[in-house]
Amino acid sequence: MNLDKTRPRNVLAFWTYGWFVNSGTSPYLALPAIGWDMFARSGRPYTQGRIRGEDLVFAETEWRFPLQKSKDKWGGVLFLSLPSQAQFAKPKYWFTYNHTGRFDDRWSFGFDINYRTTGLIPLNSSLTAGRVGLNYHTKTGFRITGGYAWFGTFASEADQIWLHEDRAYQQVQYNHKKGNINVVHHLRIEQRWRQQFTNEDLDETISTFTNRYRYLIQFDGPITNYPDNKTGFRWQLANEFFIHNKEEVGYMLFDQNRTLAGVLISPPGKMSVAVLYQLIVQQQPFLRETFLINSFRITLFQTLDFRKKKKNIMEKEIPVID
Amino acid sequence: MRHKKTNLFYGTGYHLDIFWNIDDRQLDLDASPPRITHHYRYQDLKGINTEKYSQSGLSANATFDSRDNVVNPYEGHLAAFSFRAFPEFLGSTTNASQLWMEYRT
Repeated sequence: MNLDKTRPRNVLAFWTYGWFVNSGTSPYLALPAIGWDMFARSGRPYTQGRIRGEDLVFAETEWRFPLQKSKDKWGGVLFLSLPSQAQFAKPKYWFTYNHTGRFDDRWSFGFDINYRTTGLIPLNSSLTAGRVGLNYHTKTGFRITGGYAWFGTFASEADQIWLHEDRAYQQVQYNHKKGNINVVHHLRIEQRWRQQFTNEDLDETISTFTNRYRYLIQFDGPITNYPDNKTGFRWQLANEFFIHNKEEVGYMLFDQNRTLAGVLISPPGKMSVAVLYQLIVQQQPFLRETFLINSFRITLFQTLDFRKKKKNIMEKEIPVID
Repeated sequence: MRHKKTNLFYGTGYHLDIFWNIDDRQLDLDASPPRITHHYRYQDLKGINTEKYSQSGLSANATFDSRDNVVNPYEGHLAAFSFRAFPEFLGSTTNASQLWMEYRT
């Protein structure tokens, strides 16, 4: 980052990286350690490998400046470096493919496929889900959706591998712009028929019915301003709040809250990828405890346009985290 | 591989690290009390061999680089992402995966 337009050599530079063992066990000498970057420069003046652990975060900032009034022969440098090693609860991973197809000015369909895991190597699936919906776009900018979803929770302890859930949902979504920031609100009602174990031996199940309400607000704005034919980068921030209405679900109405932050990468074309960190605060109904869950979400968005006739509405579909 | 004519690059890789004949000179298990090193303690805790092990796996990598000069940049950004998976069936001593995320400006 240049500090002085007339002196290009007056530069403030930042460097940061994170290196994590995100599943499984790495042997000691293969653990993330300071100084094992490509040019072995991180963590000056520590010896290489002085700081080592399963999760490593490093940040360095450096000021390079000229020492002479107008010449560039001599310069100086000051740097500050902060390596840190920490232990985190192993995160979960959510992978999603999200598809929207516009076949009419007023109508579109959407579906998504979800796969959730608690570890990548060894792979430890926890949930698979699919969702389909039909969207109606109103003239006033609302999008009304009705749809169905199936969720399968992986229960490896039991003979029965899947716990099924059927879900119907209705949703209203509204987008607006503030400067170059997109704001999306959506409110969703879900009718859930969930299969649950009734005893500790995990051999009998019942199906229970509950309603859930969720509200999402999402912001996204540009990081880089590139023309349409270049890869676009946008930041994304969202919060979603859930309430559950049945008493047997828990002693509180609060079900969970999800906070997300990350980057949306859109190469030229119909696809874009969102890489987000998600913090879930979840109420565990029977244990009467609140849990914090770290997760990473990688979502592939694809938006297709099947309209054959002239298109009256050309607004771009905003990728919304689901 | 370069994505179209952008600053985005991606590719895959293979990583192999074999550590053998590890001679931990600080370690003295016969002393009283025994002198334990970080290496020994970690390996023992995780139940891995303390003298030899290996890591073998594949990686998926992506880099976005818009710097004007690689050695002494005046402007631009670098963002790098690398996911490395070291499964046992490829010859790793233990199953593991590592993630590297980096940003410079």
